[in-house]
Amino acid sequence: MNCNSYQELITGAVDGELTQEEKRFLSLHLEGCAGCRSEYDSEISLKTFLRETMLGHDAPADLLKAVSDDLRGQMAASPGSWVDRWKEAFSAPFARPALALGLTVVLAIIFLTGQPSNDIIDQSLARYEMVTEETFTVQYASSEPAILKTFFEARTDFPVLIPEMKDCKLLGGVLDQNPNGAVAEVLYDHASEHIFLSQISWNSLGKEGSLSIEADVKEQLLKENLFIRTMPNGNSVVLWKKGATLCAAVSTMSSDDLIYCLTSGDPELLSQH
Amino acid sequence: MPKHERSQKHKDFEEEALPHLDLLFNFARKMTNSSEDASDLVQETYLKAYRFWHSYEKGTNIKAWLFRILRNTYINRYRKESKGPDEVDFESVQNLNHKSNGHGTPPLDQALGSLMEDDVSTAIASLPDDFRTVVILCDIEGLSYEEIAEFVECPIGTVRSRLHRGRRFLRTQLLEYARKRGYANKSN
Repeated sequence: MNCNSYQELITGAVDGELTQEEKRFLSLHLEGCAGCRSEYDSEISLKTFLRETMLGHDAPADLLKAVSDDLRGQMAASPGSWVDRWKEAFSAPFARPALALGLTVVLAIIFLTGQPSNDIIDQSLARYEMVTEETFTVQYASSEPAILKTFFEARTDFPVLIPEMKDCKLLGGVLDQNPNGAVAEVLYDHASEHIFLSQISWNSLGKEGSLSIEADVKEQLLKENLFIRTMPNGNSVVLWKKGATLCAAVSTMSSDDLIYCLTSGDPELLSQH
Repeated sequence: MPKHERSQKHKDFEEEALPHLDLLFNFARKMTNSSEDASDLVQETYLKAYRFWHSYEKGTNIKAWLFRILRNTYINRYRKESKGPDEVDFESVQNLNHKSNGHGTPPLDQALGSLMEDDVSTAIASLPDDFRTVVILCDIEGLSYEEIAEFVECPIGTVRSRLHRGRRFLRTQLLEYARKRGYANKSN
């Protein structure tokens, strides 16, 4: 073995991260090699020097204040989820008769504050942005559909679709356990554009603690099994129902291209209706 | 969310997440080499963390969770702005690794003594992102390989090899600065 093969062991030794065996292996070499001994000394010097020179700076006092102010602003602005507000209204002793009124108020608040609604389409679009902007990394990255399938099987009560689509690379999956119920999310790369499949249990739709769906969208899904919408920014959303699963696909691709990809993974998609 | 739950969320967040402000700031400060940019990054990180607090699994490593949000925010912000330098730097790290096994470099101690803190910050800032991250976390923040691996979501072996190459690169940079500062190394 030449000295190159000891270099990373030296790094590990400097950080005190070697196993007993690695330690013995390295010290045998160091005994007979002045070059590597000086390498070891240099790395120790550098580490000590960095630690001493780059002592931590405390965060500026106004940063803590700025962050705290931000958080207070967030708390005040957050209207909470649709469902939570509904529950809140419902649980008050005098609220039952006033439920209809309460609901109107809630809807008005959501409308006025412009918070994303609990609607499956809005939610998928918002999560699509978060995931593709890497606000969240995928929890389970695997190009192997079977492995990802096992990941979801243990965590969801509905079958999660992981279609093998033409020219699409599976990037991984996230389970969003948000207050509105479990949403399984699967991300693909297609020629450096993303396809994001957000999936929930069809039976839980609109139920307490789950996402909702617009009435006419639901109607169309029941009739045609497929719903397509192009957003003002050009993003496409395709919704379809497969068994007990409702899947919302979001992509920057045109809806035609998106459907082309989706049908390559599930030929039944277009022939079902 | 009912009001009391909302203020409970706020309280939990303040108690669990806010105490790590200094750690995040320090890391951001070294990544960006600018106090102002670091403050911006940390502020954005906390906003995101607060919004997605529900996806934090209680009992798991909060530092690692916050750190990942910070790192993604950093990557999104700075990768968009400049793509070039990292690739160039990475190349030189690779070459360096092939060309030299470290033998024949002069003892560092004397050379390092002639450096200013600014030189060191600049040298660290010139490291490619992945290498800079592990060097800061290990050598400055004092984290273990295991913790770093959890923070950056890579195997422990990768942490070690990035550290090795990162330090090698850093050392070359620092010696270069020392030379500019007038430290004449005797072996040259």
